[in-house]
Amino acid sequence: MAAKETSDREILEFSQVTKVFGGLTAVDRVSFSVRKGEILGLIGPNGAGKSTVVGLVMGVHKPNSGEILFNGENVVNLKPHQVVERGICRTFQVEKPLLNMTVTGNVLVGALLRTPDRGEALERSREIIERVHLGRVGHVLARNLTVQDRKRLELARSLATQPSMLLLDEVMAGLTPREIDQSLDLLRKLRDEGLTILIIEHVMRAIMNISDRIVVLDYGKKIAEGSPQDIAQNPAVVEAYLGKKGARDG
Amino acid sequence: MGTPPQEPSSGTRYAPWILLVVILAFPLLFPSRYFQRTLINIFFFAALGCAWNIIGGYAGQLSLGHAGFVAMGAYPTALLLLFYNVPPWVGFLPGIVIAVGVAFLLGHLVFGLRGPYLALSTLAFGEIVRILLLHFRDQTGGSLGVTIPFKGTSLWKLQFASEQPYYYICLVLLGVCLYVTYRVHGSRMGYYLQAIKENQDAAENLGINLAACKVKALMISAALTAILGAFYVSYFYYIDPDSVAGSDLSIKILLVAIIGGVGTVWGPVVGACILVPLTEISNYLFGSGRAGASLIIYAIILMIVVLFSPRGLITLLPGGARSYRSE
Repeated sequence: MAAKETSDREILEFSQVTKVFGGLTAVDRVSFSVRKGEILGLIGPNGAGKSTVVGLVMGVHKPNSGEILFNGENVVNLKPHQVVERGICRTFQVEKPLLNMTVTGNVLVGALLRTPDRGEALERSREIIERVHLGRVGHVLARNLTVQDRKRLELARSLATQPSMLLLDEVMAGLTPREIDQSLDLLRKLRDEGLTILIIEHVMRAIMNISDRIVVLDYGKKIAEGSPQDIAQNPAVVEAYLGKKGARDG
Repeated sequence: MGTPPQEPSSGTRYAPWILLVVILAFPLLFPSRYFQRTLINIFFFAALGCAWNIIGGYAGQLSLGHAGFVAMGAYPTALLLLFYNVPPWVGFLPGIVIAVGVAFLLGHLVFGLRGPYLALSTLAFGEIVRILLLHFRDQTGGSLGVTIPFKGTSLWKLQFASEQPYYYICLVLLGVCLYVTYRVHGSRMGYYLQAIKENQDAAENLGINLAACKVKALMISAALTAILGAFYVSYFYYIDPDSVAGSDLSIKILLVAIIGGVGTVWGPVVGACILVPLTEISNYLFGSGRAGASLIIYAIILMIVVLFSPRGLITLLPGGARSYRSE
């Protein structure tokens, strides 16, 4: 695979970030950066600190030390809504739909961030809903959606806020292989349109397929970083996933 | 969304206008003071329910202390008239300023709390206002309250011997509350409040400034409530801490909205049309000696509504389900 042409400008910089919950160091002096227009995969076993990384970027958690720069601005003291305003949006691993609003209504709320005009926001919402294949359930209340459609709604709603960077926390869990391919296509298109994406995913086929680069966390520490091929062959990564014995036998 | 809105039948299209004409002509056609008083009461509680609905219904931030804002409108109006001869239609302005200012401070204090903790703190807010009014008795008359002497019909002092002017004033106030609600309902703010009600974490992650949005809604709600407090004292000529700052009033305000339909423009009107006449009937049946009887009836209605029509009685009316947002 030829190296994707990505601009080297770093849109998000994580430098020496530590987050401690009680006695647990969820993120331990982690540094990495995301370049503008790339898809960065963030992987690691359960409890590695991936979702905490998302929470730290969004301002849900405040780091104990370290800096998080978005477009050169330190965002560690911003609240989530201010981070969204600056152009980062996330999806939730456990979906949080606005249950008693329709799919369109959910997306509309996101679109209203960039325009107070309801008609304009509605038009934009409908476009996004079509793109994520939710057109057939636009008028359905979010409480009546299947899990797959809730995942799509998470993505649609985030896109509606017109982010320059998207943090995807397991948006493909529960999708069929065909639906995963659909999602991957969409993400690639979004990337080609200039969106920067940080993606957390347990579906290895998906993450290896789509990521330009991958960062691996284990017990809150960064244990590897590189292209998908490098990561797949990295002994530390194999060990983290399969254990010492598994790595030896494998 | 998706399906185009249904063309209303000619009956439902003209019904609101016919109803409006009937309401406007009512005091001229029926000179009965009693019926006019009852209708004024309906308008008054419908308007209070609307004001509450903005923060309690649309945003889902349960306030159990809204009577505190009624008192903030009522007391300054009464005291300014009594001691400085300031007419109510000027005297209500300081009350609004106070209510909005207090709402700003209160909102920043309590909106970090969620669910029952928020409800309890607003209950405490109402009680604090009531106790302060009792405590500063030199200024407020304490538990004796404030009585405005009636000195003959005067437009200047907003004092009228007949019910008719109050009828129309209260109708206009209800119109103002409905209009404000209508504007909120269709605006970005309306969507944001509903998103907050549904899921605060999700709302915040769509770029909504939770604190600012909730505080703004509370300030609008408080301002409207204070205006209604000023009307209350101008109409009844008497206030005391229990009647305008008591938890009974706070609860009646929210019942009007909840029974009618929270988060809809017209729900509180429906609620008031049911609760106020029922209070009258209960007072007639049980007499003033058993004033608590109406509370028992409220409780029963509330249980029935919560069990069988949790989105409010407005959903039972023709086209009522459409009062909720379509997307």
